[in-house]
Amino acid sequence: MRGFGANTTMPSEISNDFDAIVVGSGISGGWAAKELTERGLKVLLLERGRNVTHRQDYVTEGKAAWEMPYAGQIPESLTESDYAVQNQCYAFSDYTKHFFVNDRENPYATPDNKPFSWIRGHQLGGRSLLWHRHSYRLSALDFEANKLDGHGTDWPIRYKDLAPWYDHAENFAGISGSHEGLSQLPDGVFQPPFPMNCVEKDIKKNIEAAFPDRKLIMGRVAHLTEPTKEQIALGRSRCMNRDECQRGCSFGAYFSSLSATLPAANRTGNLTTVTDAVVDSVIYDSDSNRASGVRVVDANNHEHRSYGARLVFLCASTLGTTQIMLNSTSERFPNGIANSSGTLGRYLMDHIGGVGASGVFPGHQDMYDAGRRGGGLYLPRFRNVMDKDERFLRGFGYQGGAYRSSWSRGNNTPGIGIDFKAALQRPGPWTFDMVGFGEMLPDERNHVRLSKKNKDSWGMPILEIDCEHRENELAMFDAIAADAEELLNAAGLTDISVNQDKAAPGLMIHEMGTARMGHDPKTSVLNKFNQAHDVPNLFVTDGSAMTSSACQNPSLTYMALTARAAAAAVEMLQEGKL
Amino acid sequence: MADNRTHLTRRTAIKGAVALLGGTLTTAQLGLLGNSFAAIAEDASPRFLCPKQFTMLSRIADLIIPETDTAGALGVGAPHFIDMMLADWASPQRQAEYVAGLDSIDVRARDAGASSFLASTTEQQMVLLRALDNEFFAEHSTDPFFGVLKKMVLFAYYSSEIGATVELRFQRIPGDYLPCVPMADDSHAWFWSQYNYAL
Repeated sequence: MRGFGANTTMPSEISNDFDAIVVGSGISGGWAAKELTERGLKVLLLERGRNVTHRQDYVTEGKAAWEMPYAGQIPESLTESDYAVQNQCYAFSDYTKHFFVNDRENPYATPDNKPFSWIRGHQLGGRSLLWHRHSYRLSALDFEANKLDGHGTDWPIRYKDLAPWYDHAENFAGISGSHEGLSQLPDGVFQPPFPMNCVEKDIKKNIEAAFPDRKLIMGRVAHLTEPTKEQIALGRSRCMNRDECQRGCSFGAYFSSLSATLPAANRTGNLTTVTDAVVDSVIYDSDSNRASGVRVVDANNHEHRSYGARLVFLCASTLGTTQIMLNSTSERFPNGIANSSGTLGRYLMDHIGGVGASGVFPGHQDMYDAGRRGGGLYLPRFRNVMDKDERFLRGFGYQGGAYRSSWSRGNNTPGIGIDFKAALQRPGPWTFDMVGFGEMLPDERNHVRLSKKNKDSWGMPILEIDCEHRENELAMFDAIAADAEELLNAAGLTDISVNQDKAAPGLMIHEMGTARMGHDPKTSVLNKFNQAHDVPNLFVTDGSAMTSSACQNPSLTYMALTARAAAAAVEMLQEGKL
Repeated sequence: MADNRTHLTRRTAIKGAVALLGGTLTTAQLGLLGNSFAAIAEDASPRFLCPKQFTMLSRIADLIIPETDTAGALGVGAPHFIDMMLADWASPQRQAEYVAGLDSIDVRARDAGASSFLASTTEQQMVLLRALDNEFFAEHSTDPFFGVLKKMVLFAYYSSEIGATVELRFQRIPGDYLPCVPMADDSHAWFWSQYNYAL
């Protein structure tokens, strides 16, 4: 088809049988594989991690604490030596550690005073196995934000461009939630929401009475509550309320690549999946100005090989994709493929989080709930929606929920003996907690680059991540804490305590923005179809494409952007433009 | 309801779980074969603690969670579980903390006039443990060990099969989320597996 650039040194034979290569099998890669194969393309899906077979490899699924080697705890020395970063994630435990990377084997660097927690899952399905499943649309407000206040560059798309693709993503993935008619959080295609418990209903009523501009709603989560025929045909069934999602779900009740997109792609007969294939770089052909394939290092024996295709979709996660692009150098692109703008690796964002509040609800002592609901509540953004806040730009939302504590409150309760034991046999008081998720401004100074000194064991220069919360984020943290306290007071809670512990950047696991979309090839990497301005057959559809972060959990947006980009790419391919 | 829970055996729990799944999962897939608690024989020698410290640990665990109409810490094998955790799970610092901590409790018993903690009467032992517990929760607490130990005893007890399914209630596969269920006077709290739980 086409030759390889002068810097091609790969020894092994190159297969050119594929129409498209998709790098990464997480939420974005799974969607790319599905959308491209369903449009008739022969797709090679490359995953750097091991194979995980849906159901069969969910090795801790259904296990109770007493069926685990240390009742669910990981040996302390192992946590310290191998999982010092991953252990910061709420979902990390002995039940789930096989779906997280080993930090010792996957190094990266940060300045001493600027920690960044990079939470990763290298396996087929990637972090789609581990995500928290909250699924929200960005709104018109979000797509206009950069243009209005001048931070970052303008999104090259608006809400109306993505709305039909949100429909498409929600239809297939299965999102449960309620219709609320909020401009800042558009409604979508929803399955029935999970129910609120009595305390949550009261708190909702109290908050909405005190603040007409605020709503407390059931979280919109990618759990099937009323599966469609298509979802059932893919082997998925409704949520069983175990709340053990990150161990894997044999019911296929939550959306993951393994439960949903990869089965859909496989049934087309057009998908080839290769695991344990670490993509080192994209091969650039200067004669045609196209990406002609990718170079791969075998994860196990470290042998090099290459694959060729007419289209390349990078979906290797924000920082994974950026690392590959920065490492894809050529005469034309000495600083990374499709990086003539110099913006590749810059404008790194996460959400800000960790700060929130909790309190005790005095009523409903005679009521309890049953089952472990996998999703909590959401309080959509209310700052800088109708009025302008003088303290900070953009906004934040909260996630939260009410529950009765169980035995572990004994850790914080004085007492021993018969009465203590009898008290812990009963549920504790109703507790409500909420934690903020805030927008982070795109800032050129927050960036990643390749190390000039250190490589990982696959020969990739490791990433140096330099990212910190700045003035706007710090002001927003204060507002998140103050508003949470005010909201919980209005909700009628007692014993309110405010948590001021700010999560380090990265720990919200919404890192994004390092290969941003934009109108102008001089100031952005990707155009309005997630297509590299510089290299027409190279598409990037994971979080790295994000021009701003909004404050909503972003995965649904990655799904919609990926599906939209895949449709556009196939159309261009058919029109001979690629 | 409490009676039903008492009679819930391992076998019926497995049968129920597999039936609920409509046979789509095997018992092995659900991981019902191992049992970290049952694997330790009740009369086994301690592997980490010396016999005297193991006896102290057993006595303290028994006083924190005694046998009542339900099993206590001893009845679920908590001391052997904790000894196993100290041998195989704990870091060297954690191991040292337990050795020194148990010794310090013995010193406190001698300071109170007994020849050792184990030689004290039950009443004296309770007085001492309550004092340590109060000190842990005091504003300017300097010695966290009793809090660490109590947390471990609670974890061992409620993470055991009896603790989770008889003392508390456990649903392997709840099916539905029922948001508002009236409580009976004897409604037990639910057990669920804690993620990223710092001992």
